[in-house]
Amino acid sequence: MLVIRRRSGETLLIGDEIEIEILETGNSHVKLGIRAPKQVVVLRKEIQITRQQNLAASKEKSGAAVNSVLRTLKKRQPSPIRAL
Amino acid sequence: MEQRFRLIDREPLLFLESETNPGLSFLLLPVALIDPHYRLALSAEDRATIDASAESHLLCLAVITAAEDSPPTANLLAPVVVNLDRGRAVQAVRSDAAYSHKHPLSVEEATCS
Repeated sequence: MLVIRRRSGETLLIGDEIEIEILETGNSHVKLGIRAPKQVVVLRKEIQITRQQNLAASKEKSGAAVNSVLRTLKKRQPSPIRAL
Repeated sequence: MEQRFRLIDREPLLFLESETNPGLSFLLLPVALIDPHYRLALSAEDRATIDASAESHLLCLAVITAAEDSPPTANLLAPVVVNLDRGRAVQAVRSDAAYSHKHPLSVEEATCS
């Protein structure tokens, strides 16, 4: 991984068309400004992970797969308490 | 994007079934059942989406991925929070790295004897 040290107000370029500006820094956060062509998808990584995992979870669930979830739950100790 | 789902309770499992796409459903479990210590700070934006107030009855559910060829996992990175009073829900994606999107459901590996 390329590591670059930048301060607030400084900018870096990725290729010819993508520009990332450090707008603000704090103890535990950084605020970035991103300039990129419309067709470039900019996404928080956890959103992409969630989207992919939702797709995997939405696949046809066979009875066997659902039963394996139930079996796994039964094996757990202590016995599960349903919290609603 | 599907927006309307029916929440079906088949204790201990829950299902979210799309009202507009009959083939689409998700299997879920209460997060407390997977990890009793699980904590989630709902963002103001997510709270507004589900119309939640301090008195709202909220249900925090994990989406389960269950394939026949691999052990089931729970998505603790992005739990579904349901406001039971309003019939609204949101998938609250965490931005911290505290929990996995593929948290194993089983506590121990199955052993062959």
